[in-house]
Amino acid sequence: MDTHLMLGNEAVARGAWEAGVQVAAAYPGTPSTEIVTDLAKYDGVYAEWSTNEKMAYEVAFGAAVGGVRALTAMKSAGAGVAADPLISSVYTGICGGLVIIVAGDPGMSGGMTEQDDRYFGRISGMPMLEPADSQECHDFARLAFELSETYDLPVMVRLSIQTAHQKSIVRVGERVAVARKDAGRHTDKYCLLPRFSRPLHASLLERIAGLREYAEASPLTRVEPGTGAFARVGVISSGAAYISAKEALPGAILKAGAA
Amino acid sequence: MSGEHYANGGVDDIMVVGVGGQGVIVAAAIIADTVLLHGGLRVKLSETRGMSQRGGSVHSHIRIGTTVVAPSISPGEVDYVLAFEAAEGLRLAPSVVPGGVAIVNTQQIVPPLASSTESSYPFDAIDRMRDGSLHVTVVDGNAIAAAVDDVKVAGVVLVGALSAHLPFAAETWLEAIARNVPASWLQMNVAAFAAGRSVGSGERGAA
Repeated sequence: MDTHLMLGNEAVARGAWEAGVQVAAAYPGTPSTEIVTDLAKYDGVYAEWSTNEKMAYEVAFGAAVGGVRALTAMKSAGAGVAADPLISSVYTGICGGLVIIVAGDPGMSGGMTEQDDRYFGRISGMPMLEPADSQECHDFARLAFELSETYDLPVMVRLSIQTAHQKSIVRVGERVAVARKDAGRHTDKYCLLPRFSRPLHASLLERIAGLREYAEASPLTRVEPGTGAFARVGVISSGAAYISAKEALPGAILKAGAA
Repeated sequence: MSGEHYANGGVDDIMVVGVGGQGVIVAAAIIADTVLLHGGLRVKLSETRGMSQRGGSVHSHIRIGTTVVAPSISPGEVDYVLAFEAAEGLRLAPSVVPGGVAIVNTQQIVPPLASSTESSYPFDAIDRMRDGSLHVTVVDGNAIAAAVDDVKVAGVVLVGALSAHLPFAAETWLEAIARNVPASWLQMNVAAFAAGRSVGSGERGAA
């Protein structure tokens, strides 16, 4: 078994590379920086530092509209900078898979604010995966590309510094060859004038409903029974909070991997 | 701690702390690789290094055991603190369990802001650490490293001092060091590790 001790960010990069990502663009910011610096080391990936997070988002979105799998990564404040294309792109959808990593910094070891980035998912309708450890960083990054193409929208992988800068063992896989898709010419899909946007919003609500069904039935959502005196205590958690809950008490945990 | 400690469900919680550029992240990688090369144990790490490139503090959590859930250590549960910088050691002291071990480098790095604001640098950091319940080993890592070869390997001197407290063979440590330093620097790192390990062993014998 090919296992490595990996930073959460390194595991995200590895999972994205295995998923066939060809374009990675970011503006550096703690705790997201290592994702694109690491992706730059892999073969078959164009990686760049863009002028800011909005530019990075548009580089990745452009690549995805053009038919290849693309990724952008940013810290919390960067998601605010990129908010315009971030929200619009959920309406238009993509062609090649597009994955957005947003890494927050509860505790502010290097960040500017302690903000709950999950609201970017709520504002935009973008589905969000929340890994808890490095293995899930790898697996969820890989899965995010599949979901992005299946449901025709960008998918966010939300990290916090507790997941991005932890190191734990990751079982890695091989890169899959993903051919560039035919982008075609779809004015009604990519032109957000009201007469196109209204049907796109309706379509987005249908895509979200499909994703909700998927998330509830998939292994992303699981219940772990509690033991001993805590068997009757239940905790609902996701991401890094799942690890903290598991460390703190042997109660039952509903772990939500997607939101 | 002995290997039995782990077999009985014990977890060793180690914090490596210092200032950006001192080699804290590499030291943590050496410790983690030693555990993996030893085999049969889990190791998880967590790093806080946000402002490290601007001379800020870098803290690396390392947890070793047969079962490890969280990658970071709860405050007050640190078993070993390996401080590359004296004030960073003092900062961590309240997080160490009573009777825990602190291995502290004598180096003091005064941040530029400490002289211009209301905060001041604790030049008595090591004395204050000794006032508590900790077993403190003071290591002049820079002088030992300079005597061995170069002050740059001070971090590995400190890793050597810590190694005396953990149940892993010297050869395993050396293999882990080889994985984490450039080949052309291996010899001086091996010498630095040996010098640090003998300091750690001596203090441990005395304690």
